[in-house]
Amino acid sequence: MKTKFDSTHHLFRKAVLHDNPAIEPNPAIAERLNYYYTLKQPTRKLYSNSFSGMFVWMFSSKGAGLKAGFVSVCLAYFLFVGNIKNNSGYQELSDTCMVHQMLVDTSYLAKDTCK
Amino acid sequence: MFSFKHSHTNSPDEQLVQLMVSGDSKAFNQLYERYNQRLLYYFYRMLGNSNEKAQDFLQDIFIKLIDKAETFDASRKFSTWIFSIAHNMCKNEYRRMEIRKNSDIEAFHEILLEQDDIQFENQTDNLEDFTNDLFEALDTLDEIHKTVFLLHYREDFSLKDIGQTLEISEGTIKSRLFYARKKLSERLVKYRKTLIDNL
Repeated sequence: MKTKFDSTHHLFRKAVLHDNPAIEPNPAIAERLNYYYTLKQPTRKLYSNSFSGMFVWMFSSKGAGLKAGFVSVCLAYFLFVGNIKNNSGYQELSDTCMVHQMLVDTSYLAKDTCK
Repeated sequence: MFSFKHSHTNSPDEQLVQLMVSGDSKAFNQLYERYNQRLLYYFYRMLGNSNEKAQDFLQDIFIKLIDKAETFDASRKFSTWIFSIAHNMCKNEYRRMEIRKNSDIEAFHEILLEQDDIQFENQTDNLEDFTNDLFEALDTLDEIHKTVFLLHYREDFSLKDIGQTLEISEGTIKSRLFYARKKLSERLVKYRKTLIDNL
């Protein structure tokens, strides 16, 4: 048998659970909180104009093979370029009709004629 | 495609807090999804049915959660912990508005008593009306009785959980709940017939 206390108790519960005010969380709150959470994440660190990480990586043993390969390719390239440019003992000849006329200071063509 | 990300829908709240502390944003989102409506309702009813204030408090409590998540004791229930923070926020707000509150509540109480006299004879068994009148009457109670009432009836917290939330003994909670029910029953005297007939 239900007592007066039980009835009141159940009606209060019924009414409170029935209560549904027209309120919804503002979606902007979730966005702001997500942004704030991202800023506060312990794994997030800010590096400003720091090259130390790059130097540490360069002189560490990490990826040594890759680094050695890269250096070898660079060396080979510079040697090759150096070789093909090393032609100071040879005179360039032209077998075409095109003549490069050099404009030199001593040439009369370069002299100021507006006197 | 295989997904290597763990879904948090079935994870307990306490585990989500730990994941959140370690930087798992999905765990945080899951906690927000679980508690935003409940906390918004709590603030809305605790803070004079103000939607704007409830929204502000909702944002503030989750900011507190982000800032203080690492202080959460995993042996405790998360729901009691978050509601204890919510309760403290409301308590501070009540303190801040104490002078205004006293005058407002007294004035409101007088209006309510006048309305009781007018509507006394128009008894209704409409749950909608009863609910509205119940929350009007609830607004005349002080903050601690209102909190106990809402946590018990809306959040379905046990007396022990409410005690942990408010850091008060179970006996005190019991007497506060009894007082709240008694005061509300007095205010809702026009529904006495409904209270019995409805059940």
